Amino acid sequence: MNDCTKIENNLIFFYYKELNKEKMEQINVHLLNCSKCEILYNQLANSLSVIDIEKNTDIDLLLTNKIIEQVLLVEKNKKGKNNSVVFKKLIQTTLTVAAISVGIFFGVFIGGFYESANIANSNFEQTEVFYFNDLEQEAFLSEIINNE
Amino acid sequence: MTEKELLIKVKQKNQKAFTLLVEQHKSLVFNTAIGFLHNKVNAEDVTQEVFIKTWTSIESFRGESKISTWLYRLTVNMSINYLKKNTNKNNIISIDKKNNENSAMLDIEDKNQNNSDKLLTNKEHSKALKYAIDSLSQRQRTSFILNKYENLSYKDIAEVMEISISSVESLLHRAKKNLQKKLLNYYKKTASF
Repeated sequence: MNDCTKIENNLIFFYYKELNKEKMEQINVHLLNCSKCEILYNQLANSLSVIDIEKNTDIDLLLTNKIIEQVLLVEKNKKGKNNSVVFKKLIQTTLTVAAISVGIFFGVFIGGFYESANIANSNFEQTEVFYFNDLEQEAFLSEIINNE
Repeated sequence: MTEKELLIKVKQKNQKAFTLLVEQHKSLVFNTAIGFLHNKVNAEDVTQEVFIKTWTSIESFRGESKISTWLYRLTVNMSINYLKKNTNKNNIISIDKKNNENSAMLDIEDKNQNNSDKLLTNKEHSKALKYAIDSLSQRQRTSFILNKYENLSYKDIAEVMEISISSVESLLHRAKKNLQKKLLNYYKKTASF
């Protein structure tokens, strides 16, 4: 590894002054004597200095106001969403209760209608009544009684 | 008003307290975002998103760390997400594509174009740096941005990234090595060393 390569490997640490005193001095001397390394170092330093330019970018003075406006908008949307959720739940409950009520009403109504229709249309009339212990059916028992 | 008192009020959805929180911390958020995005408008977008998220989810902040640490984490995550979302929309500038002039880049005036020491213009330096930073791994990039854009100590970076201080040292060392490699290669190519 030649001197230039060694120096190149440490240029960024030289820029950030993160080397020991001896190495800092060594690189400093090399840069004064080697134009190729000096140009490379200047390029690197210029690129890295862009960080300082970016860091000092002015922030929009109205940024805070914009943020607060956005936050208020979020809150408003949240409230609107909550209201619509409550309204939706209320409608759902009402419709369910209404559907059950209508179902019960029709059930009772139709049941009642068929019951009265069956009674009205019924022609069945019982003419004979059979009894299990009819005396005529009990011949054996009557003979015993008669023999006595 | 102490930070604790301020946060209690923000949790109670006090708008004045929130405005104060934004005023105190907006530059922290903006500077971190610009480190990732290199663009003022996009950094302001992310700053807005970060504070809206803060307002909506401040209840989840348990107060175990400083609010600034929490904001740094939010900003890093939201900036990375912003980059992922807008990868197709934004032209990711490659150094090889010299003619690709992206209006989104920071408008750095080329005041020193005639300076013979500068082979590249300021705009090109800006592009080169953006390319080099963007080529770092996510962890190297985060540690480098927190260190160089926000001047955070190794200890603070370790807290934000939830890693050890020695890991931060190692990440930063590798980040600088990689940045140097990318930038020097670029200068050598452009200036035909």
